[in-house]
Amino acid sequence: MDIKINHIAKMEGHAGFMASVLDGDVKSAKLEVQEGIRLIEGVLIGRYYTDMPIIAQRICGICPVVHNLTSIKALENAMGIQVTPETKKLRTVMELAQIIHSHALHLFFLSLADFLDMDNDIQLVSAYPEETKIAVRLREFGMDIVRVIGGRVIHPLTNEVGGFKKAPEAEALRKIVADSERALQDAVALGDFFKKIKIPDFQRETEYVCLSGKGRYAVYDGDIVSSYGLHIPVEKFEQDFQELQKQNEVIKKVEHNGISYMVGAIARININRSKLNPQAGKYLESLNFTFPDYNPFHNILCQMVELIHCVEESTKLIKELLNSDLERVVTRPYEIKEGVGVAAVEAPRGTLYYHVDVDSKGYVKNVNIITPTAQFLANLEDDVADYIKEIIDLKDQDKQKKLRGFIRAYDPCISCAVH
Amino acid sequence: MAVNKKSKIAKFLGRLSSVTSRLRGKVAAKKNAKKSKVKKLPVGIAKNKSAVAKKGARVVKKKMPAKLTVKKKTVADKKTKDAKKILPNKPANKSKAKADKRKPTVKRVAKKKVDASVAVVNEKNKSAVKKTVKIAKVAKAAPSKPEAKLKKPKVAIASLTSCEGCQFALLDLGEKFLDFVGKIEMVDFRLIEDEEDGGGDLDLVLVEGNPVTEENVKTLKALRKRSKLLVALGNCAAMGGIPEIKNYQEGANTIKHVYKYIQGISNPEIREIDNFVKVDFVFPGCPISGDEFLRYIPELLAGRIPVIPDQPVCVECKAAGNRCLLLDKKPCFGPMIQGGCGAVCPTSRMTCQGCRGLRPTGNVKAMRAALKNMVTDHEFENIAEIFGLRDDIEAREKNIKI
Repeated sequence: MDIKINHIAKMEGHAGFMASVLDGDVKSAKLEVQEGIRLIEGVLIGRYYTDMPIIAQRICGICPVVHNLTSIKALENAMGIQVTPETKKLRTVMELAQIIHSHALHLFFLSLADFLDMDNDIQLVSAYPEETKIAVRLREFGMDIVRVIGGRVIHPLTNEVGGFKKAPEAEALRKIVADSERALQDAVALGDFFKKIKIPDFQRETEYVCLSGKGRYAVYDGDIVSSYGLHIPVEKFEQDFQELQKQNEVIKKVEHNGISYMVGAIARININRSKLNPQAGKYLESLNFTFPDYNPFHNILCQMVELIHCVEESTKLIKELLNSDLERVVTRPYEIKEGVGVAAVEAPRGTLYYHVDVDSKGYVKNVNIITPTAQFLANLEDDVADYIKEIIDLKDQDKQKKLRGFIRAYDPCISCAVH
Repeated sequence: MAVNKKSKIAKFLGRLSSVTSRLRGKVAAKKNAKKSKVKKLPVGIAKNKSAVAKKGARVVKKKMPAKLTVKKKTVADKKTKDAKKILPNKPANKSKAKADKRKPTVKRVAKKKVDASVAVVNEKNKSAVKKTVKIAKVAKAAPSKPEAKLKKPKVAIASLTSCEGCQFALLDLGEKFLDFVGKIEMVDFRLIEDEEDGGGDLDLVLVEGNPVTEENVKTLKALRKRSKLLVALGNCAAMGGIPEIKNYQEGANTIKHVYKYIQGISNPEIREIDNFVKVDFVFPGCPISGDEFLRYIPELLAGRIPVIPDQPVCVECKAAGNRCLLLDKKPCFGPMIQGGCGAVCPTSRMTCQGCRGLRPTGNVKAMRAALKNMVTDHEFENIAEIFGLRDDIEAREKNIKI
């Protein structure tokens, strides 16, 4: 028996799904990518380093911020450029805001209907107008922050190697702080709502991987840490994790020692949950998860925890920035040097990894980009193969519905994965 | 089933729209009074394009015999202006006027808005409002057959290979986008449900991205056949975008940097969508400007093709009070590039790299001369490659009409 889904809507990029089952045994389960290639890594080669963040962020229209930040960080590491603590902080705020608006979109508008057994967002919005308002407001809160710091939401403009072309207006930042109280109330309220949704009980053990560091819940920096005890600096990532391309496939899936693993909100919560801000921590506690938590559907709730955390964290950091000299984020002169640099930042969907090789004149010699979706795709397919067994007796239409919901809960970004 | 689906989508968007309107607690003033369809462009007015006559659509839209439509527009505009004179500039009145104008197209939603705004209109203003409404109705009713025109235009937004940023630029307009969606019948909007587009005729299709896979090309051609108007949404569709950089590199080397197994992977040279189908209008930019979208979409929905004024990015840059980047020896392409973006880049101290394309009278020679002391020719070409501008510049310099 074959299970085929031509096209999965309500996610970033184009993909379908195909599985074949024989006598109750899942022979294969595969996401069928329908996205064309853009060869971003290839087009960067030979270009001047300042073009790299501009081009690389255009890999994704939902998460340009993280592509921009990670490429800048990799270039700075390659050339040995130090930036001010204020710059790091401001970049972190941008990334938190990126997570806020991406999660708000995915949680509510892309994934929620699947859990309420609704066919589409039509029913969702009419059944929950209040919650819809809240989700819209939260998304706008995140977008406002990116706009104020980056100059615009999609493909921001101010970031560059060495710092920012321009410091954000203090007045605009103060307004965000003023709005943050409501945003936090909204996030908590939305959290309470999500507690009520019925999540399927499905478990499959896997390895979780994300950035982790001392002190804060890692977003902008940290080491690569896994739930199976791996702890390596970002520089060693490519040694431990292998990109594999199969013939006719445009996504290079990544494996850790030959086995699939998981990144993203659920991985971060499993590993870094002790560093959450108070409200987010309180909310997580109220969910009564047992850790390690191996239910992939919980990715949704973990995103909800992070949404609360990121509102708290971004407000905290903006307040700190307002008490410092904002002009210190503006780029200062630096020297162009030959070198190899790597960097990783937590994107909404998991750890984004960049590797860049620059020559002495500042031209890019080599680039490698490893996106979160490319990393969790093998894990998704392994999970789905298991999950199909649980839903095998359902009618075809219901099976498809369940599978769509499952795949969406992962929040895959196909444009990123292919790039 | 298809009909069912369409009405479901319309219903959803209507709801979402009213939800978000209430959220903001006000109804934004609407400048573009919706007029009923004026005569549509004669089909085939744009030349059928070959790969040589690239960007033909742009020329055509300027050559277009626009007299008729322009005239009607002026009449309608005048009336709207008159209406404005009568109206004291109060939001309540504006929303009332807006609600009424919308009535014939979006009955259910419009009614709600009327109810809401009536509550705030005080006695004194009521007569003024009535007058406006009357005028608006006259303007609207003049060229139309009333019943037949109640149908909402059918629109699809399609995304080929891209970052989908232009679609998100629309979504990020929030309430304003939903206002637009309330006025149309969205035939394909894959962000809200799984069911696929059921086919059928379209009034307008907005296409984002590059045709890279065979499926992309098929989709594009099929949409063109179904739709009265086809519009490029953003830099990739219009100019090739960042994927076009590979066209300037050494052939197959680009893909070899990325993939070990290249067999079976579709890797065509990047060609803008107007090499495959006739393009009636371009929303330029990477990503598109949401405000500009709102400015021109009413005309497109009415079956007319707007013309973006030929002015450089510098006009808006200056108006924003920015210090000219050229004075700081930063190679900014602003003077030769089509304005309308609000000079969003230079306002962030980022040089213009031309994502919106050359403006019709943009002077490449003068631009090169101005940048002579800042960048080498090679660097100039490099910058022009980022957003697929280089081939357009070369064509302009060879005096090929593009």
